[in-house]
Amino acid sequence: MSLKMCQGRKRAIWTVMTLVLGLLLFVTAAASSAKVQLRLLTWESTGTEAESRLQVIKLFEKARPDIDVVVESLPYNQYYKVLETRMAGGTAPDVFRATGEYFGRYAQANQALDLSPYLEPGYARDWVPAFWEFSEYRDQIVGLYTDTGTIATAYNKDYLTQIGVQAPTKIENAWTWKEFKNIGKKLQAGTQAKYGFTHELRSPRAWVSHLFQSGVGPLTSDLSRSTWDSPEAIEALTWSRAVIAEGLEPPGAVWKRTDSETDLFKLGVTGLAVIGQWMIPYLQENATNINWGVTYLKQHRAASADMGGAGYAAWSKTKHPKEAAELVKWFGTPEMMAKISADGFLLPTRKSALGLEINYPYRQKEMAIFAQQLEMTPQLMAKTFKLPEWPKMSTLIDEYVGMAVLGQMPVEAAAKKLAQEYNRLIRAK
Amino acid sequence: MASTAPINRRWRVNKRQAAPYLFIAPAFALMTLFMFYPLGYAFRLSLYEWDILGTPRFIGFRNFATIPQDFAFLTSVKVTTLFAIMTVPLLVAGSLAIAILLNRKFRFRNGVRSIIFYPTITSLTAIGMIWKYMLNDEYGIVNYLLGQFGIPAQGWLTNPILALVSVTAVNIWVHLGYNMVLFLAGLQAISPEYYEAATIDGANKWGQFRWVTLPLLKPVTLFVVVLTTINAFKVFDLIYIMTQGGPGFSTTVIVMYIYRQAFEMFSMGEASAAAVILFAIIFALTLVQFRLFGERD
Repeated sequence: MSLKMCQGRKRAIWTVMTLVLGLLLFVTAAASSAKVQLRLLTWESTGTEAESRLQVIKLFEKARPDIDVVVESLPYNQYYKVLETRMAGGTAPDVFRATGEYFGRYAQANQALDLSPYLEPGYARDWVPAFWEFSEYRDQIVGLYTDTGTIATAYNKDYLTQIGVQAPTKIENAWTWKEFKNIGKKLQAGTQAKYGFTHELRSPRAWVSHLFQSGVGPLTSDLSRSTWDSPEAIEALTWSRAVIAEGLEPPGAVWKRTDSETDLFKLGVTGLAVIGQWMIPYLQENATNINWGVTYLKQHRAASADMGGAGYAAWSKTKHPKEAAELVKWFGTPEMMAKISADGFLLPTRKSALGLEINYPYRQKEMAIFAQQLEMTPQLMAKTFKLPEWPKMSTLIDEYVGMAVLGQMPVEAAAKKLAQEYNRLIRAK
Repeated sequence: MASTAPINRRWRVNKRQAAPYLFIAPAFALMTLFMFYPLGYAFRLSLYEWDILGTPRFIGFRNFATIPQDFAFLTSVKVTTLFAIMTVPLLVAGSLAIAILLNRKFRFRNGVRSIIFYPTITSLTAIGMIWKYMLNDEYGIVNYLLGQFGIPAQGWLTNPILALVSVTAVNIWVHLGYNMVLFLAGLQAISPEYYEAATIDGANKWGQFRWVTLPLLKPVTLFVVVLTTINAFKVFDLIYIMTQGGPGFSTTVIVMYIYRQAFEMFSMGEASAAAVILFAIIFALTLVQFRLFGERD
């Protein structure tokens, strides 16, 4: 073989290789540019709910083969710190899960995408007004509150039988504060329960429902002033302080707590426990040695419940606003809402989804009580939680109410301090 | 040709002089990036009002004026001081005593040393979780064992006073091994001849400890005291896991307050100002300790 021929062959091989490589690069680039990748950030939730969310995403990817969704989960106690740090650093995910109170904060800071251009006219009409409240910020729609939940009272059936008390079966017959306390005392005296109950002290937000039962919220109805120093708020604080001081409720079950109220209930240490409906799977699986049921929350001047749950929002600086908005909308479709609700023991927030029959795997009757309890949520609660300052206000409840009920600070002093701090935050707004 | 010789010589001299700087350059670059820059940035941020998401607004020294009026901050300073007062003497004296005991020859000495050192190399999160369960009011093993002797259950983590005592005790237990190793190293560096001379002079065991061991351990003691004080003022992880600063504010230390301001109240400026104040406190305490223990040597 001559040298010339050899060189020609080499050149031909090189040309073919270059062409193949170029073609490969082109195909890869074309394939990657055809698919939009969306990053979704959520927090870790109970197994059934997390699994259901993944299935809903799979269905979305099937319906939109041009979109890939990458899901990242974080522990809840780190969630907002990481999300906000990423927002500040310009690396936030395209779509993120958030509780309603954060929608306002992100909208105020221009971090939430305005979804209104992507929603049909009249879209809001199908939503329960109290939950749609979270979606609106000024003239924008900044997220969809897709699922909710609330709290109710779990009771140990055997203990109640032992003391001859029947749990209310109608919301209008719910125990009053006085009755609740008396039942707690009877449980301590007449059963193996060391404590009567654990009540709304399980979290600052849950305690706000106790406050609303007293007849006031943390703020006036026009949100212009704090009501922490009102006689009603002081009465709510005094009640919570008294049940701890009298040993009816374990101090370890107060927030920043070392005891889990569900574990204490499961072990028979308490006869009553205020729990969220999302704890049903846990109790079903673990509280096998006790016979338990669910009844309504106690009430005083008013009935009230917590407004739990969360929704989805898109980041304002996402490179794919249309696709991100579509994913948020997908989570808000009645069918997907109903699916996640049924699998994750949640309650939907759209009227048409509420109309669908939701088949929970078990404890259907108890879930109906939670749904009924949710109707007692005051509109003012949604307005208060929606304030961009609410996350700070919640921390203050955690601390000062905590100190008051544990006797580290006089009730009146804590109320005064809370009123001052809340008014300062409102003025700064 | 003659003119290139001085240039070469100067180049060689310059090269020799530059070599140390080149050797430390990578470390210095990393320290600048991950230590000096964030430190400087924190100082700068303390002069701003910033909630992470918005645009920082310059407010001068206003954060330094508002923080000392904050009940939560004042409480955290008080709690941290109490924590340090309980931790530092007990940890220093305890680790010295153990080091002296374990400096003697006996069977299983290395095993005992390893057991005492073990918490130092264990994850603080794991330690915090384990102790949290052990000290639980209702189903903790500590109250169960007390119950076996007829002693009523205590609120180890729910009683405000006991909660601080509990986290302090666990913190001492965690750091005992590390300090013990430092003291052991110091003890082994003391020549036996000093003890022989002291014995000849009629010194008993206490006299040997008082007049030989303690003075010769002074540099190590200074190091341990400074390090323990700094760690006591910087404590966070263990308390966060065990009590989250509660009940109420009873175990809220300064670093926890900084965390609260930054990630719960979203006041990065105030959090940075509190961090600067903490830096000043630690710096002042370290200077005092050097003055007390160091200079007379």
